[in-house]
Amino acid sequence: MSLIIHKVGILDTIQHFGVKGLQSKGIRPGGVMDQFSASIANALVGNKLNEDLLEIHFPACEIIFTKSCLISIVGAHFSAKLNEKYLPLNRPILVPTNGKLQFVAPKSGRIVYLAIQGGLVGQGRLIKNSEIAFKKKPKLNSSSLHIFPWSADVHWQKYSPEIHVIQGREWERLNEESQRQFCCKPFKLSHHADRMGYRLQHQPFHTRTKEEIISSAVNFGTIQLLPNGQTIVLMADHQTTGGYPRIAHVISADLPKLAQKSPGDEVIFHLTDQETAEKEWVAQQKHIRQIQNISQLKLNEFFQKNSNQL
Amino acid sequence: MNAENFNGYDIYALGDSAITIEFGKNINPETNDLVISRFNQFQETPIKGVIDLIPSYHSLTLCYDLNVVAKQKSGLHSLIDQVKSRLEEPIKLHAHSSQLHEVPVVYGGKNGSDLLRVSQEKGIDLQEIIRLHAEPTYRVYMLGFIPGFAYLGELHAKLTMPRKSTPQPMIPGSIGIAGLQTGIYPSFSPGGWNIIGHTDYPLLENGMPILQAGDRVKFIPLNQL
Repeated sequence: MSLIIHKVGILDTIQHFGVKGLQSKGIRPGGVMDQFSASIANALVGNKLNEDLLEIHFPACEIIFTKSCLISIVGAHFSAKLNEKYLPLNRPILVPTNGKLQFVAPKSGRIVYLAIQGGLVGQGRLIKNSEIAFKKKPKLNSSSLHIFPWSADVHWQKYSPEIHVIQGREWERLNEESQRQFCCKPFKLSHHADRMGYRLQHQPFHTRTKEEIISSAVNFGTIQLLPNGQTIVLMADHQTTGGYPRIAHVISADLPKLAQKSPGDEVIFHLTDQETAEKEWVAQQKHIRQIQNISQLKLNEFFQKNSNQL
Repeated sequence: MNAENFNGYDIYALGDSAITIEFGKNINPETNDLVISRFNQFQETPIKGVIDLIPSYHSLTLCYDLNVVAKQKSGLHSLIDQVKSRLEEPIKLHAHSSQLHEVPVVYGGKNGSDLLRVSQEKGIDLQEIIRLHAEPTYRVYMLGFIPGFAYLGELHAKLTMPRKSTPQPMIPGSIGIAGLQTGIYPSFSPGGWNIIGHTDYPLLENGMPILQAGDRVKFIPLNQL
């Protein structure tokens, strides 16, 4: 009663939404890179928003479902196929027993989430050639694929290059020219980009002082200035503390958008303030909760009507 | 937000969902005692919405659930006021029981491969480096970087070395030096410190660190070179 990993992907994990309360021991929170897409994926199958789910990069794993279950695919467009039929993003999908899921071609974005109704066992681990157990045994039974007729509005995922940041503790260390360059000039994401951090490509930034700073806390979204004048944005698997100047921080609401950028993609940083950061976050969370509520209603209605067949 | 000063401490935002209280400007045991004591205070009586605490050498960071922050009338600013009133409460300095760890070390050799280079670059003979490194009783100032990595200070000024320009693979138990710091890698990891020795002392138990901020460490040399 499980998912069988028929073929292993390069960087696929069963993800949670971050471990809390252990950073004082040097233990990073980790968790999903794109919390927006992951939450929507959970909402679509009627899970709690922070249920464990699969985080998939390209080349992706191939999965065989040994039991019919309700899934959703949200985030990057990797041309998902079930038994040779293309699947849409952002919809609940009922997969038949022994359905085989593949992701055949990356079209846009970097990370896709696969949520399974009821959740999965084994959070935080890299997916190897093995089986993944369902947390709850799926009650559904279907011998055919069923794609539900509604979809979630994911307009927050739009792949515009604009990323909003607020100034960091060491912002003033950048000289005026570098401050000007940092705001509003487009930078490309380098190939050094993984779950720990995304490096950017630009002319080296210059500082007013070379004074060392004492190591202290960093955060998901912290932009550090490296000794060679380059910058790195710390992502979900960042270390807990660091000793490089923190010139800015990506606002929480824009982290999902940044997470979906691939090497070569452009980003343009815009300075904003705490108030805007909070407003954007609240709006995004409200949107997710609306999708959750509507999904729940529609799923209930659907399963009541079709209880005989499923 | 720029830092604001309160009672001689700097308080600044670390992104939109965390704030840092900086208790001093230098690395010293008194400032670090203050950090650990305030960390204990916030841990014993948590502030609503705080989901994580990150103590460091001279600062303490409070990570918030942004949903809770945004519900406050003036967002993060209301929470800073709450933190300020906490900082006015008196605390017992460093009530933490400070454990002494005696850590046996094999200096140099295969698992201390930078010892020779340090000796050459500093112009200090091997015996003297071992003596200078093993002489002090170090304080665990903080845990960070990777689970259970303990930042120990202060190293004798004669032994200060820059970090390597490219990180190299480390094995568990590697003892490194960098700047005025020394530390022990608890697990396989890339690292830029100069490795002068190795220990078998247990550093993790079920994934949790054995050394705690505020503990003391004394290195016991096992070999004469």
